[in-house]
Amino acid sequence: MNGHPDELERLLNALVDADSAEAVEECEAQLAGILRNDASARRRYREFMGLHSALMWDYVAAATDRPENGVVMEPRRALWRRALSWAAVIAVAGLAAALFSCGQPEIEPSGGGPGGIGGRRRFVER
Amino acid sequence: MLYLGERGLYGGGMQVGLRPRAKFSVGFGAPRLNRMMPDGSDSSLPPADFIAHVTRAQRTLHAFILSIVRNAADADDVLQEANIVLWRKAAEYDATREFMPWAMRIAQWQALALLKKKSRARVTFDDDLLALIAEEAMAEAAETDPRRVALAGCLEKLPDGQRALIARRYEPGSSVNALAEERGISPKALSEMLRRTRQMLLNCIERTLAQEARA
Repeated sequence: MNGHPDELERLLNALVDADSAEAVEECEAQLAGILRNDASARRRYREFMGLHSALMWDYVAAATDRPENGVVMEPRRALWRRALSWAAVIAVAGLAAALFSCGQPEIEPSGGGPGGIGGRRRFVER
Repeated sequence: MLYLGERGLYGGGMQVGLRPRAKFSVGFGAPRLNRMMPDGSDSSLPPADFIAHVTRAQRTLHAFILSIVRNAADADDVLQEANIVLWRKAAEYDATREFMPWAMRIAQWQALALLKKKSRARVTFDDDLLALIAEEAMAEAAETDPRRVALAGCLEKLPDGQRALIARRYEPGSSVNALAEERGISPKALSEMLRRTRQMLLNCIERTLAQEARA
């Protein structure tokens, strides 16, 4: 790494924790200057963003195994947020199909799914 | 039937809960949903292995997109868009080739399209830098899963206080300012605690991977 690794770490953390658009832009400007010419800094950047993404995805894993932490969590909210990406795909497809169909299809969620994690939803044909 | 669960989409008979009599001509370039075969099966939905590929790719795609757009909410939106495009292009996927580079390329286009829309606000990472980041990330895509596995173990090893801090910080809707206020410390002090904890996690991941490489 050509520059100061501590400065890179500071900027990476400041970027993801910044509370204003101005602060983000300032961090990004400095980061861009470092990343353009430093492959190891870019690798560090990707690793940091990978960590940030994984923690956003799995934040619940940091607390669910240890209830004594005193952290009140709503389990699986983050996972559901991701699942919503897929839900959107299905919703868009279903909506478009409903809008353009000649018939009047019915989409009816049944009760419980076939088991599995997190209250899986099941859509069945009747 | 399709099952939508927290781990993605589960395919079975592929009927999406629609009556077989209904015929659909889907507009907007959206996925063609329902070309029912005489036996009631569906020939136009992506095959189950494609759905499995997309489902397994979600985390890697999210990390990849985040490295391009640098904003969590934007990354969520782009991932959603990318999933829709992947679905639409399912028929174009060549199953003899690796899925992840193809999916990442599509995610990259979606990410760049979003940045273009927001170009006035996000000009600091220019096109050349973004292309460099994306190309290098694609070349190292295989590393992301081992790092995530290592992270799970590293979270277990964190002292309880730091583990709880990370859990609160990454709870949806959380912010450094709100957390600092909740703990009665300054945002700067809280940011420093987060920085140290992330550094511990990154170092732990490196140690874990190095140990595994030696084993």
